[in-house]
Amino acid sequence: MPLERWRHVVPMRLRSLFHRDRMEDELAEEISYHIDERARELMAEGFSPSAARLAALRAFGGVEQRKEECRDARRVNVIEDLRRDIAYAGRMMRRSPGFTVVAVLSLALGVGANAALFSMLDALVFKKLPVTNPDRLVLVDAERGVTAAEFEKLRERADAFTNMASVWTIDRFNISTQSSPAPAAHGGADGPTRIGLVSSDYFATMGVQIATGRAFLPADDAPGHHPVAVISDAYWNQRFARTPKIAGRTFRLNGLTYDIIGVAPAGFSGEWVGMPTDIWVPFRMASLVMPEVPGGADRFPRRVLGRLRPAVSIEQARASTTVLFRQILQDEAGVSVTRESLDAIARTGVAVDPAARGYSPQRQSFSQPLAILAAGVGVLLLIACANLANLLLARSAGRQREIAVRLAIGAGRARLVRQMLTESLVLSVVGGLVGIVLALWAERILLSMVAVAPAAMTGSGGSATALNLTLAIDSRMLAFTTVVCLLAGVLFGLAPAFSASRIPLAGSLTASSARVIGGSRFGPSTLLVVSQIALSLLLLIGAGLFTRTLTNLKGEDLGFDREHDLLVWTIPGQTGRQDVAMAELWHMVQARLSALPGIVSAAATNQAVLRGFDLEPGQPSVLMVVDGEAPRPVAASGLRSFITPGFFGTLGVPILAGRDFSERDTETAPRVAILNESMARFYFGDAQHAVGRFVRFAGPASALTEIVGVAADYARGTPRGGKRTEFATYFPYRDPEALNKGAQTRLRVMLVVIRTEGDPIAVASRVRAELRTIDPELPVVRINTAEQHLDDVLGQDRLVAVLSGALGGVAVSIACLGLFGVVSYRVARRTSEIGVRLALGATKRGILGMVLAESGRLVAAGIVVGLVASFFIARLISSRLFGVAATDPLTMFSASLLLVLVAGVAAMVPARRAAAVDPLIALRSE
Amino acid sequence: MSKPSDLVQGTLDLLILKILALEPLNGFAVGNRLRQVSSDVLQVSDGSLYPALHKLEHEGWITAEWKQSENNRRAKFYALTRSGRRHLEKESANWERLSSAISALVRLEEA
Repeated sequence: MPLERWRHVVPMRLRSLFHRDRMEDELAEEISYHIDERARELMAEGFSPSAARLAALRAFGGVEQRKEECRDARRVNVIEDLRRDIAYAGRMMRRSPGFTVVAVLSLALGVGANAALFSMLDALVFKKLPVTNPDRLVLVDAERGVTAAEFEKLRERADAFTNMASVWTIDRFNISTQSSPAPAAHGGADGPTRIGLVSSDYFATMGVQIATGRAFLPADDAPGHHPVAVISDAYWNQRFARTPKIAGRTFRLNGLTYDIIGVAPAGFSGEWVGMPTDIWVPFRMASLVMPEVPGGADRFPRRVLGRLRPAVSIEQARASTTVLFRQILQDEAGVSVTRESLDAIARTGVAVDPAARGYSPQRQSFSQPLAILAAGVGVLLLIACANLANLLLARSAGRQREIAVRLAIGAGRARLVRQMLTESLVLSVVGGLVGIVLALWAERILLSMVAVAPAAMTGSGGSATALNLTLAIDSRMLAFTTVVCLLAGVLFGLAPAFSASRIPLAGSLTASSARVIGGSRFGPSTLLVVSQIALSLLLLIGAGLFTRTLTNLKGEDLGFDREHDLLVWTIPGQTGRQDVAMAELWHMVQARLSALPGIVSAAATNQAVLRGFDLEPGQPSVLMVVDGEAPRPVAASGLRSFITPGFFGTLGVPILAGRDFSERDTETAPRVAILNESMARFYFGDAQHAVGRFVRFAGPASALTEIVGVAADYARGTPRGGKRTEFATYFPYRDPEALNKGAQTRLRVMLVVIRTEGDPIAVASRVRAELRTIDPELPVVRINTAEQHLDDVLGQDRLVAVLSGALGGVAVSIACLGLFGVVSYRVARRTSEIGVRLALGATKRGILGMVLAESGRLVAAGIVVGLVASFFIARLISSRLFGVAATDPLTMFSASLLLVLVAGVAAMVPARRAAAVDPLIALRSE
Repeated sequence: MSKPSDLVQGTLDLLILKILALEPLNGFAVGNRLRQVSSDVLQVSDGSLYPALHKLEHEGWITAEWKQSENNRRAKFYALTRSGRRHLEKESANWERLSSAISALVRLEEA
């Protein structure tokens, strides 16, 4: 239809819909004008006024009929009907508020859970970055990473891209601004500030226009230029209260002042989805932003982003970049290159992958818990739908007579189906609206549960196990919710609608309602109740298994004392200390904190207690050679720790043989080491035989080293991995390797373990204050108890356990509401039958038993189906479980028992009502 | 009603459009004009005019406006829209083709 016509048609349709009364008035006026005119004409011909009027009306021919024909011309009958149906549905909802509340609430829970999870998945997985042309954005990565020098060459020579940029993200805890002069984050109260070290082309590559101020210029990346930064909109809001004069404001980091030159547009938080960047600074600042990484970021692989040139496909870019990168590697290798390394270069692959949805290792790390939850909320929605279908079915049976009357006076069956469907859709829309409110609330809880990653030791920047997202109601979430609501509405409305329209006319109008209903024992409503029970049993079993997994993980013996220990996570490397100065800081921290009241002892290490992930043993390799013996390769993982004396005692790890380190074990003393039990056993048979032996370690620290002690194994990765064989080696913090300048300073990260007399958290503020007096510039990442740290490490397990528990609870409540509804309804229908039974001598007990037995059969059938189904899906979740089998009989039994008990209560109410039937009244009501 | 009006029913839209193409009129006047022009050959009952007018209005071929009529009463005046004019041209052409084909056929039978 041409636009010009639409200009007339659309307003007409809208007027027909929304100004119905005006249209009616105008129609009446138009017709009365016509009749008046005709009558006037006739009067002019000599008719009397009344005769003229009559003749005019007759000539017109059926005013009301004509009006109806004119209304038909409006073409909005379908919508008019819909409006009437909706009004009718509204009346029905008001008439039975109990039904409405149950229906809306159960649906809202189902829809809300799905909407909440959807917006999380959408933000993490589906949404494209808020940049221009996100589809032209790619991530470039070589198998072994791309160094700074290689990136520069790539950027200059790669012709597949219009722009290329590199990024390195790192969390900092010691940023101070004018608005918060004391390092507000000192101690992590505000959480980390995430810095993106970027090449000057970053914003152009990403396709982002700086909203306020300017982006980086190549000059900003030149040495000697004053340090500048671009901040995110969120950071501007949070730290600078959106002050309009942001350009020229400053912040301090590691003793250096940065000028803010611009603010990124709202919604843009970098290329890493789930880890929003707060501040971007030029890449050359790397060594000043993260001084604990000597040599700067040059040594590190970085994320490289490219914006494809128009008409260049990703395959073309991949091919040309691979060739180019190999050339660069060859140039680097120079002329004296060996045959093998040439071969290695020729095999080097370069990945060029679409980055429209950004970079996010979180997708991988959260995929399993989110998949489990998605399945859970899907099942919950099914339960809610089954519940509603059942309630509607019961109600439509109750409305048989009304429907029969409407059919009798000429309502079309299709029209009736439409009207019943409208009723369920109205319910689903109302449920959806409430669901969105619930979703917003659920999202906040969900996000707070995934926002924190366990404290970590490395300055490697960002974590894949925390998920920081900002969610809002957006069009995508609304679209999803609408589709879910409509599907649900049709799903639960269709069966009742058709069964209602199939009602036989004659019987329904004449027979008494009780007989018409009969007891269709295997009818759809039985099926629905059974499937609800079965599905909620599945969710209950899941909740049980995940809860037991969490309990088992928390109860796992980790091999160290976690009740009395406080952990203080710091990054002394950021203070710029090197060598002996660093070791002296460690010593001072240990000595000063040990002297605080309430503290038994303090010790420090450069490795996390519980890293949060388990190392997988790689290829067999030689970790250590016992002096005088042949090298023995072994496939074991293990890290070297540098520790202060007293570490094992403070952590509560027994020394099985030999001695602990002492302050005499310095860089000038003979080199010593302590092994853990697994390692000692592998090389020496047992702990005792290890002590006093001399070994050489692989790598640069190849000096002859004496084993002076063997410490017990303890869990170093996660409780899941437990004390799994990890070959741990400990060196004194004054070991030459620890102090070695040039290499990564081993002491750049420091975890202080503090053994307390009472509640560990009670001394936290004293510890914090003491650290500030030692060095106010020392960044403290986090202070927590070992128990809290364990909770953080188990974050995903807790997420799954808590949410599956909530889902299970909600599912059972909905299913029991359904059972309650169906049983109540059946009892009400059978009132007269029960009356007859009582009159014929049945006892109240017998009636009670009869009703309970009927519901018992439904529940039993549901449980059997649920148990059988649970065996089939058991293996899907078994990898997530710990210390409990997916088909654990105890969990299945207790879940079933719980369901029976709750269902029993739900059935008891209507059963009692049945038993309380007065036979006289029941029979008279017929 | 006489038989020829069946034909008229089908082409009533065309006739109304043609009449309104000359000048905007109210419903009553359209009816009168219709009878006048066709010298009473086309008998359209007063009432059946209005559903047709409303249909045309809702199709976007004509547009309506409340104006003062000659006897100083408010009346609904219909006028052709631009797309209505194009529609009329197309329909008239169709009609020409159809009627010439039919009259040719009718003459053939007589010959």
